[in-house]
Amino acid sequence: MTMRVPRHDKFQLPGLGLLKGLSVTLTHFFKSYRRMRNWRVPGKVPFPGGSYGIFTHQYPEERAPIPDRYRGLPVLLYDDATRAEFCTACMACARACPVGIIHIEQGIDAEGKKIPYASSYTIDWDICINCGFCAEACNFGAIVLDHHLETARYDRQTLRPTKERLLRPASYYEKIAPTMWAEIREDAAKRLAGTMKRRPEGVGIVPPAR
Amino acid sequence: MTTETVERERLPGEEVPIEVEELETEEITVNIGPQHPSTHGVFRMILRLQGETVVGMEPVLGYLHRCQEKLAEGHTYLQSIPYTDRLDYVCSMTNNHAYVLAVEKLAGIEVPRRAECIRVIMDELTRTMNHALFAGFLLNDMGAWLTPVQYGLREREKILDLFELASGSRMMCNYMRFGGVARDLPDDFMPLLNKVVADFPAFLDEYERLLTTNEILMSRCKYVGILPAERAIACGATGPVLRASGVAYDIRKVDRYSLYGELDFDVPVGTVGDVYDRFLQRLYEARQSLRILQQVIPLLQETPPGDILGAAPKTLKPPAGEAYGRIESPKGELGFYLVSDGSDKPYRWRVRAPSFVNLTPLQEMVRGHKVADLIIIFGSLDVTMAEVDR
Repeated sequence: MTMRVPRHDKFQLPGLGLLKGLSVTLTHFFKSYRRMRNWRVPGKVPFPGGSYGIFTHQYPEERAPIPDRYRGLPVLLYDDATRAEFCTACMACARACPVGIIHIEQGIDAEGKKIPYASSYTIDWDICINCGFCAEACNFGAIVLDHHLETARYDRQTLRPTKERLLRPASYYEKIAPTMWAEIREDAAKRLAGTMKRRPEGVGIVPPAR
Repeated sequence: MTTETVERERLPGEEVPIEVEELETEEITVNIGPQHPSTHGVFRMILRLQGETVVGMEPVLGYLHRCQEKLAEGHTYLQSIPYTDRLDYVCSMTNNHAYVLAVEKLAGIEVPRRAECIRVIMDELTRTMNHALFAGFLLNDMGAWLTPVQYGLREREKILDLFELASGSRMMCNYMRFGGVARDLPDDFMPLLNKVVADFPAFLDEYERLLTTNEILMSRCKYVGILPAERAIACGATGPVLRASGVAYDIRKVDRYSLYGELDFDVPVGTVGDVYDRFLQRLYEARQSLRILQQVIPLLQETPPGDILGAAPKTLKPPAGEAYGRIESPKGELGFYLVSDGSDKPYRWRVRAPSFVNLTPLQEMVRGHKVADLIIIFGSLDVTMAEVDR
């Protein structure tokens, strides 16, 4: 069906259109005093007043909630109980990355045999486009997307984090994205148990924080 | 005056300009852009002016060229999806849809019904959002600095929240995959969507009350930058720009891709093809999008949850051949032309960008108008420079 758009060509009282428009802005002026700050606050009805009220947040004191699926910068996870890294240096994330910013070196044991452990793991956060393909490609629940927003730095080198700075405990991820972690946690635990068998003793264990 | 005045019959309601004997002055050349707030990005116009009247305009493109088509030849099919987000950064969902449609045609991948429903929902949300934003920015160009655009931005914010819930990102959604979508809708998505669909008509009514019969807007927009239907077709314009000229051409109706064959909606068309028609046409199209959303939500609830990804191979190697997938993006016909040589990377990856093609008639539309009108004529085409240059 085709439908003609009306062009309002008929005569109208001069100034009427302006007054109509001003009445809209005036309504907003008064209604904005009824503060409706519960827009986007979890647990409350979102957008309660339709299009009226206050829609802004007083950042940084007030922060809008971040949904579980939010795609921030990629970080690595380790298991809380054993402090073992989930990553096995399978290179799936490095292959999936459209901009090629994940650099992994696979670890070797004393005999020179390859072991499922990344001896070096670097992500160039400054080039990351937050597409999330690394997390989608990972079968071990090792690489996930952080919810940290304030990533401005003074020094560019700090945006090229090595493994020590990338590692986060799994409980941290569970806190920020419970539904996402629930999807991968069982699989990650099962695969970690398999990985631990193939790793030599003491390799891939995150040293306890001082 | 050396201005080429276009001889044509006056339209009903159009005022006949008063003949004034004008002084012929020296022609001056003025650059607008590439860094100018009214050019919606980096677009340069070399104007030849006679007084304040535009005698000639030469567009200069390419300031935002980032080799996307060549880059995609070095990426696998999947890796190019985030790059399509960055074509028209206002409507990344429709960009995703056009690209995955082309790849699905190329590789012959079936899409489950639930995924199609989600795609249509995302497309139509993008369209409403884009048109709300367009109306605001057109008023920005007209000189109603920032007040009307706040209304559009506010409504857009709600839709961006929905996108963030579903895909994890507000603008660079990267949500669609070959054979479906990346993830099923989260639990808190549907109540919010219902709320947006219920609230949006009230916003459009309010916005129309604020603007459409405003005397200043009408005198600025009516009979400015007329694009006749024949010229619009000849220039290859698509989308709202073509439909505002009175041609009812909508790829959702022509191709009936995805679910659009079974949905009931109208195609709003303009009569004159001036800036006013292009402004109103988009507002009416947003209403039709909401109508589509109301029809799709029950369809989505009929489908089993979780059935969102068809059987697509993990490393996609489409058979050698070519495919062209196109959709009706908020800006017009967005098409992806892909040539495969049987490997996991495309041999050729080409974008038919609506913004770029819709710029074609600009040169003839602005001739004879004032500089201030040129700004709103350009604004009424609703181009995103990132899509023009790619």
